[in-house]
Amino acid sequence: MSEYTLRIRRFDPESGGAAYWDERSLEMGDKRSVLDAILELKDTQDGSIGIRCSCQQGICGSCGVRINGKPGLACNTHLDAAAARAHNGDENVITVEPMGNIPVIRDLIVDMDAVHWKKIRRVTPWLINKEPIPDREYIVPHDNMVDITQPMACIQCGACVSDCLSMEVDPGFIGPAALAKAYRFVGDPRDAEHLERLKDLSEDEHGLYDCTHCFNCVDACPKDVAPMNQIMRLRRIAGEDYHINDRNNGNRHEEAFVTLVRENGLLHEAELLPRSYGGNSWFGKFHPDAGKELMTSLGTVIKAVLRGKISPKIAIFGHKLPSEDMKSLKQIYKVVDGRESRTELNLYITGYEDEDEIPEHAPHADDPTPLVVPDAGAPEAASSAEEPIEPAGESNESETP
Amino acid sequence: MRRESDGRRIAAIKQELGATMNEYVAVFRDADGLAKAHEIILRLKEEAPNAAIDDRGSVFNQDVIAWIELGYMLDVAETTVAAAEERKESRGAHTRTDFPGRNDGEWLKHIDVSMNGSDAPLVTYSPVTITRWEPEERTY
Repeated sequence: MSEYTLRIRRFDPESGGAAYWDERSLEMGDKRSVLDAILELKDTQDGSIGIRCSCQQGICGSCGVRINGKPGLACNTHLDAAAARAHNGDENVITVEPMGNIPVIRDLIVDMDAVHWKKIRRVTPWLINKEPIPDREYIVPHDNMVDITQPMACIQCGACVSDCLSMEVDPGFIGPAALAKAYRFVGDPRDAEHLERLKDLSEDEHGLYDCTHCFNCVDACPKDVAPMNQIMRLRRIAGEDYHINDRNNGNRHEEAFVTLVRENGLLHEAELLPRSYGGNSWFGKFHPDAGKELMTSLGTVIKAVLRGKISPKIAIFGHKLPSEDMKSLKQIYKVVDGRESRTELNLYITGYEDEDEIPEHAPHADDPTPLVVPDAGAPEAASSAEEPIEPAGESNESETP
Repeated sequence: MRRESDGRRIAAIKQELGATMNEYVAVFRDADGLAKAHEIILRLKEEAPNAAIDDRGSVFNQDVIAWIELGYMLDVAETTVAAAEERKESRGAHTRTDFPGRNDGEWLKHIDVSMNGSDAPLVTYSPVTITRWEPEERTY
């Protein structure tokens, strides 16, 4: 039992007044949830505190709020854990606000229809049957189902939408939850319109390529859906499997990025823009789209040079890396390109790093290939000679005397 | 919403109702306990309409919803108690410690409880239709 003070963001649309902070204290067990505390306050102090909730055990996704700045479910956040990350430094003060990016109806209740559900509907969130409809049920390979387990775990709480930085800048962005939902169908072999879905999402200027990899949604999700990863998987499939070159230059930009790092070791900034717009080759800059974009960006480039952010030499010729670094880099590319499956498919599912002990069993067939970069400089003969070096040395010694 | 509401808090009434049902109307029941529960429920039913409502707004007013739900809870509780008092035998999860045996002779019938426009629940019977499975004593 400890005394906790809850600072609840209140808003009454009928009062005509602005939102305000409502501070209330109560005694409660440290392992009770923030939702328990709010409901207790509602029961004993002020019945007009508005918060949506239903299951109270992290299943229904109704009680999404921001607790001490971090979005999540009020029902699966312990009071002591919430108090521990108080950003205002006050002990046992827990700030509870409505989620971001979604209009507030009242107090902690946000208008999920206006944002979240609208975006979910945007991605055609149902399975489109193959034609003709087969006589019998589909048999879906186990691996495919495992593959879409992550997006299927979504409980539609809106925590990821709340803190999506891209959506903050572009409210039209389809957003993490809906794009994760889109992957649920693109990754499902029963769906008949993978290509159409991917085309639609890539060509939408608020679509697939609007994500900026900020990881906020990965942090926010109480169900480990990792929406950003699902977006990256959609991009890989759209670009590498279906070769969709979208009008937002998203895929060209990614290809140019990868190619430039492969060739230069570091990003060649001056080449990136023309290639993203004009095509992924040295000739990209002569494409009319690239020229147009270069002209509009000229001001930024000049500013960057004047402020010493880039030197004209690096801007034109790019960065130079030592040759052994380039060798290691080539090796990384070789290993990654040589894989049968794309690595991001398993990025967050295994998660050995977080555990204290790495399991000692031999690598399982299903485990992702570990990223082992062989010594770039060592030729094959040298590495095979490595093993007998010690015994050979010993025998030499014993022979010499 | 314009009415005065200076009574006890909705949550306090709910809490008392819950505690009562748990103590007297759980699996093991007897006439005394059920009578006590009945009395408390009737008192709470009188009290409930005047329960305190803090929220005077019309947008997402969860306080009023809680108040309406409290009324339903009391109705269901009263119905449960009325039926339990009526069934003077033990059957399934209904165990009367004062009537421990099962009594098919008198009680192989449904008890129907309805409000029927009256204040007190109206208790009637309807016959049980027995199809494939003959009722028999449950033994372990």
